[in-house]
Amino acid sequence: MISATLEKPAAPANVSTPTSASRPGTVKSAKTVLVGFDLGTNKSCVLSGPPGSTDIVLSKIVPSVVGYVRDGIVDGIIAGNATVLYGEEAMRNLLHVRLVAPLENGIIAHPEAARDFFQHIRSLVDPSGQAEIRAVVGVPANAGEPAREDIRRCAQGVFDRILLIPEPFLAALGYRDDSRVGQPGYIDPVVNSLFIDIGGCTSDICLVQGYFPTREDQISVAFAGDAIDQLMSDELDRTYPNNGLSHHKVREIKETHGYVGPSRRPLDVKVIMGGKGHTIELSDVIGRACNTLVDKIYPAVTTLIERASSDSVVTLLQNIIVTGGGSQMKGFDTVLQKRLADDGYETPKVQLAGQDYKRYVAVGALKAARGARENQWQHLLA
Amino acid sequence: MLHLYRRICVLRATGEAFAASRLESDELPRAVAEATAAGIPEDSWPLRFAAEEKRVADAELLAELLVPLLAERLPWPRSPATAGLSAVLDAFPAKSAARPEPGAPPPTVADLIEGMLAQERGEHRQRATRRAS
Ligand SMILES: Nc1ncnc2c1ncn2[C@@H]1O[C@H](COP(=O)(O)OP(=O)(O)OP(=O)(O)O)[C@@H](O)[C@H]1O
Repeated sequence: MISATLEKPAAPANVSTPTSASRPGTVKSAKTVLVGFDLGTNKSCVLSGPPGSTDIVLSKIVPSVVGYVRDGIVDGIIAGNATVLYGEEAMRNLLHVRLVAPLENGIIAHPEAARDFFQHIRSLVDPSGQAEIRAVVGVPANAGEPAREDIRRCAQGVFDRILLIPEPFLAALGYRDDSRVGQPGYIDPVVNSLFIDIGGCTSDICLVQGYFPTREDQISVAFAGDAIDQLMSDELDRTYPNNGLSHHKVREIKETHGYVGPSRRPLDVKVIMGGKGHTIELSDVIGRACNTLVDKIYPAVTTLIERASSDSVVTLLQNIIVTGGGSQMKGFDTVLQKRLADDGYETPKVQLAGQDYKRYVAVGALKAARGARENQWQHLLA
Repeated sequence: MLHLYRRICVLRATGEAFAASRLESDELPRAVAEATAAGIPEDSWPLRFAAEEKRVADAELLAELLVPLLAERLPWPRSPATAGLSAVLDAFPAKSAARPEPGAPPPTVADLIEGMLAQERGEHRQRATRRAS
């Protein structure tokens, strides 16, 4: 197998000094752009900025989709008669494109589309196409070498240098409040934390303890947002046959009313069935489905807590951080914390990453790009 | 004979537990029997083995101290001229560069990346060894 990476000795120059590199295979340029890239299955987040500063020039969330415009579309229907559309623009033109999601379950499934998507990201961070692009890309902590090599291969000729770093570590680095590191009472999430990332397909629980998490530090549970939607749909179908509620609608109900913990009755939700408006009481349907999540991930959480060393575990219990879309579910932190306390774990503290959860991996990736030594970047051949 | 035992210790220290135990169960008893037959008193072996274990442990400690310094200074990747050193650097990936001792000052982002790269080099090396054997 031919590797996409070209390892060559790099001059021990600081990235902020003018570089002779440029867009692979094009004119030389003095500008370097650092990129933090969270390449997600559903959505990607990209941040960019210059080396040697903390400025963020671009911060954008892009749905991870590429739309290839179908043949025979009349001139003027697609802006600029483009043949390939990306992200939201591709979604807006669903009827006119063949939509491809480059990733499945966190890894590249369609290399051509991934390459086009990378190219789009490049054009966002460097519209001139002249800068040297150095990108730190988040990869799932349990991604194997073939998955990593796929990313390098697709980035070849698009970015100039690359570093692949496990996502949970980047989330911790992004979540870290740099101004408080070293202050008494502040537990640096990079040094000691347990990250619980509740996504669409999987919930990933990961120990972050001052080194890059390895496969043994992470457990991926195949139960997350999509499975909750499915449980809700199944129960709604049993109670209201032929309700006609789409997956999208069920998901919307979950995102608006989802909760874990004791029943929040009454929870009246207005839905349209067969064209008529109905108000239905859904507290138990929603509660049962969402509470299943806690049952499913709890054994993984305790397994990883027990893997932490006896020196670190008490502090670790103070730093359990829940992120991902599922972290938005009401009551998740309280219920998990209580369950751990009831099971005798020493004063656990579960906190939510908050509204900004979508950006932490990319923020961490940009911080990593700024902190990386010159000789740590991997060169990519054009 | 002591050379064989040292090799077992080195294999253990570099994470090759399986190869180490194979040598220990297959070759070591034969070598001990031969050495005993040649007149080396059997009861002197534990002390000799302990001395070899200590030598390897000392070498490991030295490598742990040197790895970050060398990794910092060596051009990356290392040239064929430093290939021997590469092997030493790769021999102690996770412990030396990845897991800090409790109470140590927080590592910098670059230190952490160094740890990750060392881990990866270790995995590559193990894969290559597995393929070769
Ligand atoms: N307010 C909310 N309440 C409950 N669930 C929510 C909320 N907001 C988003 N979600 C759910 O979070 C999930 C998506 O999370 P996220 O965006 O972290 O996933 P992802 O990273 O794209 O997926 P994956 O990690 O599986 O690749 C979806 O199931 C979505 O319905």
